[in-house]
Amino acid sequence: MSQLRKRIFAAAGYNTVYFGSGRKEFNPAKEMRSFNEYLQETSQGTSTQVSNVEFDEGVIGSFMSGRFLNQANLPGFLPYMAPSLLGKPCTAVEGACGTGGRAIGVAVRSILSNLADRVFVAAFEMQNTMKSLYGADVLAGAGYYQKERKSGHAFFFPGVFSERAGAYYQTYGYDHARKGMAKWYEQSIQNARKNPKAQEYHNTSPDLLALGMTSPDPARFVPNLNLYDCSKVSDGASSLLILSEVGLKMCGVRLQDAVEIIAIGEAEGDITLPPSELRELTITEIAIHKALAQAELRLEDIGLLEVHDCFSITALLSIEALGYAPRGHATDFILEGQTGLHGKIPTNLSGGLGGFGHPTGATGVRQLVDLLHQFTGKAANQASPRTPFGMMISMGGNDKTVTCIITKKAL
Amino acid sequence: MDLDTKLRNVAVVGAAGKMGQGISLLLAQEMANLEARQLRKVGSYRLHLIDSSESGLAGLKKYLKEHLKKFAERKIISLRQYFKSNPALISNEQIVNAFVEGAMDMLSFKTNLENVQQSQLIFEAISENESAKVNLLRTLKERNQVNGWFLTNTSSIPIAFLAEKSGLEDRLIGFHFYNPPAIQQLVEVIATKKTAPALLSVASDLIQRLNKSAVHANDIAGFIGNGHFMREVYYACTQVQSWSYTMELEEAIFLMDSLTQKVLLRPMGIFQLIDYVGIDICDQISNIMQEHLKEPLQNSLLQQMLQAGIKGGQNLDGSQKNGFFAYEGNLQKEIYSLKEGRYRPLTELEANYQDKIPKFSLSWKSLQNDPQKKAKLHQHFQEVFSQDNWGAKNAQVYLQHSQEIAQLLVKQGVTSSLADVDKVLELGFFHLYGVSQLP
Repeated sequence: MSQLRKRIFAAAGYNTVYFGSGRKEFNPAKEMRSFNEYLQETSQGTSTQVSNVEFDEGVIGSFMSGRFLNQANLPGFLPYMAPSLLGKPCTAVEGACGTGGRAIGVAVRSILSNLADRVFVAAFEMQNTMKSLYGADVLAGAGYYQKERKSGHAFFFPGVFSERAGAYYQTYGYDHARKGMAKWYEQSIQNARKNPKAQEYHNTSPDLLALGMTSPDPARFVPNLNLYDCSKVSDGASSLLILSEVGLKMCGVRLQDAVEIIAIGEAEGDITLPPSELRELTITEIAIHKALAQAELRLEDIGLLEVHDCFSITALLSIEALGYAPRGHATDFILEGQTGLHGKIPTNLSGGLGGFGHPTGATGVRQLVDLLHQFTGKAANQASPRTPFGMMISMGGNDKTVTCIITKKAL
Repeated sequence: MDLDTKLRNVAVVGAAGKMGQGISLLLAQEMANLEARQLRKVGSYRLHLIDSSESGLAGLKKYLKEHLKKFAERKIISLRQYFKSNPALISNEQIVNAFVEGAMDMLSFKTNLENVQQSQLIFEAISENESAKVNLLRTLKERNQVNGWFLTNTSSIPIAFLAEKSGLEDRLIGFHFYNPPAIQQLVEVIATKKTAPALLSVASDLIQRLNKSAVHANDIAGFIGNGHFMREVYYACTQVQSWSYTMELEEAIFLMDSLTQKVLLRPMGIFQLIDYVGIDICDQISNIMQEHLKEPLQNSLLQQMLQAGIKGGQNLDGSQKNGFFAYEGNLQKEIYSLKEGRYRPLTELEANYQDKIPKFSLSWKSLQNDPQKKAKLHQHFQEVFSQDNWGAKNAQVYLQHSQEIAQLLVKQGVTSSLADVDKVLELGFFHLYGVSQLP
């Protein structure tokens, strides 16, 4: 794969609080912040970081606002968020939980094609508008609804990844996998406790590991996962700017306040077909290889990582898809502390999907915002990456819509 | 005939009342769940809900629909299994709606008794009035054509008395839910010497099926629950009357209520609990028990309140009506002065209160889910028993009296064990501790 034909930067990243159960102020009986407020907050968060708020194009991502909010035609919200977009091209993007990654991909294409130098990218999801069991019906749209919903679990996606976990346990053993999943949960919450915007910021459970070790209970939930294995129902929005070198100057953004996007590996699986291998994320692997090839980097060159850990089992599978551990051995890698702040590859330092929260459509953008914050020294849980390269993996559905982005500290 | 067959046709009379509504919900949930699990055609199970109040039935219908939906939402994992073979039901939402629709189709709402003809189980939950219950049971017996079994929710009238007066004989059992039935875990079961063993066995199966806990009481007026509670009420009323020689009556009531709640660490003080149950209901029950037991249990204080037009009890939405206290939500704000014929703000009584009721760091709420509850209670009562002030001393006396009541219940043969009294106090009245062994 050839390198990108132009230098592309991400800057002015902003995340709202990712809101839902676990936050002290969360009360389902009370009216919650409207999505307009989230959109306004995040766009202002981005706009106030640049001296010139003139943009050429807008991209907005959301997975199921049509169901959660009865709101479609989302491009119309972009001029509302960033008035300079009035009369400009605006586009909405959807790729389930991989929406954010694809929204960035669309912006990157516009820059590469010389159609724009300054693209405003925002993504959001509001999922607390309905009870989780009805939300599960909505989120099941990330699968092949027509064929899979009827036979699926009441909690559809936990059911899908429970099946993967079951296959994984069968081959590699439950006890070992469970230890890795529990440790992953502990690490996610510990990271989130350092991030005031995280859904789990207020989490004070004294023994996270013990919670993570809870045996799955099929009578109350899915057969192979416990509740701590799952990211929660979240509301939230994130935004940033995707800029060309010219765009960077036009917006008045200093190089040290941006990261460069040096590769984007996008891959799609056929949603109508079941995964070819339950114990592997095959499409994710394709996206990773494409990105590494484009960046002309080896895995060892990556200094910081954001993985799509919608479930703790997905974190294990991602680590193996990346090649940090042989199949069945992600647990060892996690238990050794290699994904921690001072490990070989610090991962999901803002809490990840389990700790920060997972407003489905927003997550991919949030991941890039977090890489940007880490490499510009603005992160809540700041690492000292041993290389200038960061990587994020945004995944939609059951390993179907995957975007792997590699960033480089801007110099 | 087993429980499932008996549940095919059930009636609840007095269904729109506070107790009837909860009993109706429990039965509707269980029967609709059976219907769904067995993939029966709609109409295989019938639940006849009967009440004299048309508007009450309209409210009941709304209440049941709302709560059956919540029930279906909780049961969604198994409901998806039950409805597996129906290709039209795909989403959780469709399945929940189908379940609720099926459940609602199972119900009939009537202000007359015409539907009880084929009922195998008939639950009686009308107000606690002896002659009304006797007349109703007698009429129901005449209407029912299948030798159905009767379960009465009376909390005080001896079952043998009702069985004899109504002619139901072996077909009646006491089946006393605690308020609110949908939430409270306890059911007091009272079989008489004549009660058919098969009825007792089905009643026990039903309690298990409803995930409730049974306590068996012998057939003596008031059984265990009211046997204990009404004697406490009587005691509290006579105590405050005697205290009222040296202070205002309402001050005495306030002190007694605070003492029973804050020093004894109970969920409610005794007068708040009377308000919760209803002053009128407490008076009726004490009257019934007094008649049957030939023991003084009726107190003029309750009657004075009733004469002043104050009844307490709850609104249908569960909010508290004014009684001895006036409430904001469920918080006591004022207290009724019989002398002045008006409510007085509790703040006016604070001075005396501060003086007499010692302060403790623990509360019923703080201890409810505390794993060290037992040790903390022990320490608390050691402290109470070691103090020499007015509040602590009166709390000691009250607690000892409570224990004596429990012993009396055993002595009179209402129950054979103090442990059963504890069970009623802990499960039925949400006390943190029983009285068989004081903490």
